[in-house]
Amino acid sequence: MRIVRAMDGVSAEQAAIDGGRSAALDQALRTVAEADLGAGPKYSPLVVRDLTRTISARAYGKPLLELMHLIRIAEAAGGRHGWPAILFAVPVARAAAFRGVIQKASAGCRAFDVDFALVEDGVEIAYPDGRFRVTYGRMAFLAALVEFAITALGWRAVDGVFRGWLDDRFALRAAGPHANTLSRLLYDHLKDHLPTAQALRSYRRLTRFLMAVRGDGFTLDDLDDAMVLAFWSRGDEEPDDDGGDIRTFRAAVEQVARLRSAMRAGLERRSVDSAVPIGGDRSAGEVDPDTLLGVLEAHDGPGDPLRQLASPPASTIKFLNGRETDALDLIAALGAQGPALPLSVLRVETFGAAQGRLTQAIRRRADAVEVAALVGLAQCESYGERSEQWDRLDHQLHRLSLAALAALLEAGRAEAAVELLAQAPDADLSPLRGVASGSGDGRVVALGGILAALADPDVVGGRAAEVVGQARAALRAISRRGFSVEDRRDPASGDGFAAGAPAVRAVRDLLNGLRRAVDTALPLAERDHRFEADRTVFAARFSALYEAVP
Amino acid sequence: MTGRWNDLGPDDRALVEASFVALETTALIGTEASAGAMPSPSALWAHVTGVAVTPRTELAAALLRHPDLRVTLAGMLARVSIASGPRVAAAATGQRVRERSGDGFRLRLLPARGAPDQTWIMIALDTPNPAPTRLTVLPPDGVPETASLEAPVDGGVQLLAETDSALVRALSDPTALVFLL
Repeated sequence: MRIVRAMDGVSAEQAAIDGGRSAALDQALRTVAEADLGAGPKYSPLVVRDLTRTISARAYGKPLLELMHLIRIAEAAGGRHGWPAILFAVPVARAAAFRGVIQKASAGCRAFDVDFALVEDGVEIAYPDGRFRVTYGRMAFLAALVEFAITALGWRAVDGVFRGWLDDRFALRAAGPHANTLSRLLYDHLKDHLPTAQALRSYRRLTRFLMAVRGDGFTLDDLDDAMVLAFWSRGDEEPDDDGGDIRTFRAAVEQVARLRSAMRAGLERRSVDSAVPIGGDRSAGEVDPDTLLGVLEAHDGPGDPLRQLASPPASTIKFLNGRETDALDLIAALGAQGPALPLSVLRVETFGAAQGRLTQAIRRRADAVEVAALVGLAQCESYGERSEQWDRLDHQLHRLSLAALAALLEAGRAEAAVELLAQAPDADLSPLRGVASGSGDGRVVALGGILAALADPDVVGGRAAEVVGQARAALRAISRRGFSVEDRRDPASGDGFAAGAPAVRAVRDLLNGLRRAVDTALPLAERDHRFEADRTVFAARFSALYEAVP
Repeated sequence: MTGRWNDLGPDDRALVEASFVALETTALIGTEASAGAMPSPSALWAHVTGVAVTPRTELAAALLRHPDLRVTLAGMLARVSIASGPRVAAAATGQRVRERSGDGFRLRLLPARGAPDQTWIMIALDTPNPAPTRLTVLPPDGVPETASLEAPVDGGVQLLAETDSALVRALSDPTALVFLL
């Protein structure tokens, strides 16, 4: 396993001197994200995010081992053209697509009766020294990893490693050295391209500031709204010449949120009595990449509902419009850290948005009067107005959840029961057992009977039936793509609602968690006063940053 | 969660630092707009196999911006080809060639009798099965040139092309790579 070198060694210092962003790395990731074979994006935002996390944490050791086995499978199924005929031929990288192409190809491949077996969720390789299974669900990520590796390292290097593995003995144990070869190539490439030095500078800037203002005994609770504002407002920072836009308030909030997640990981580790070593060689400053990947997933996971809504099958239905997605973006990105920094979120959505308009005006060389007006925050949305927008957004998310429930009921999907319980958690659905036992022998008949009974107040009670009635009304009232009667006739519609409904609920939970935290931190009666006080602070800082006098 | 910064040991702090760096790095990479669209390997594969052909101008621009793509393209063409021909020995001299051979074929360029503006491309196959259906030439610059091939007759395939066509010019370039697909 490759080990990530922590940034406290000599090499890290050198990296800090040399650092900066890499256009090549950005481009390699964007190439994967924008891959399109004429059927829309090949890889979903979730797959791209997984790839980005894996690359950032350098946690590609295990995936590359899996990849070697997938290459064996694809080479066998790919016929004369070999592995690319499977990994590159799928227009949209989804489990079902890989299942289809491999099942079709395997029909004409003798090896699939001997060394490879189609199993329920993937393909299993029977090596003489053991078995290895690659699931269809994993193939999209592994295919994206191949595209990234070829874009970053070149065809010759990557195909050369694959060729070496395919020409090697057919053995489970033989895969490791070839995976390690590719891992080393990636490691060497990323050493020059990951913006770790820039990230390290941000880390040092933040921890130095915290120690200066709170002492070296600071706790997680010290990373609060006041600290964010003080950090962003400080005027003595070193020039930010490395491309990091710490001048934006949002960037400061996000960095503090990341430090909260990182510090939590350290504190959790400390609280475990027998904490495992964090890497193979601590004297060399090494940290296990899989541990880092866990931190990344925990921090970034709350953002996944928005990515799920942007990914098939949910993306076939327009649950959120662009404005709503924008309004939820930061809240989803911060996840659990949002409610810990409620005022900061409120400030980003109001003053941060104003800062965005201001920087755009400066870029397009707007006249001094316009810039001064923007610096003075004359037209800035107030805290009260933003709270009202969140109220409306919550109402809309509720309507969408209800409409999705009705669509699932109409499609005869079992997921409807879960959604109904989510909307009416106090409903007693136990009488449905009687419906199920009396609905006939066939599963479809039984499910149909249960779903019909969900709207029957005599069976499930008034509350659940009332929710179903509201759901049907919501479905009729929503006119977005995917919600119309005609759109709902599409056989894929049920899958879209089944994937989208829990994601919409998850986003709504994040929004309401944040709203509650804001209500606690800033009671309604204090909002106007606080807004005016903050406006003075932000206007002064904008004036200093952009050298304009309001 | 309680706990002070100065309670953390060296391993804990190393984890905090590495975690922050990984989180920050994830946020930093992949978010900048790229200077120009770069075809993904799967898009190049679709082009090479004829499943989804990348528009000529788009491919030319991409090869110009990203010279490494030519290596990928050559590798993929070699992978799907029935037979391929390398640069010819005369490449160092820069002279145009009228004949070239590869693994499984020999190719000659012959002026059409009575029509000097046209050239016969004559391909002799070592083994006619499987029969190639396309001829692709990858020049050292510019886009790959492709022509459809008729079924071989007596182990040979002929096609007539304009002498100053991109295909003939590419075939007579000793540094070009030739693929029968």
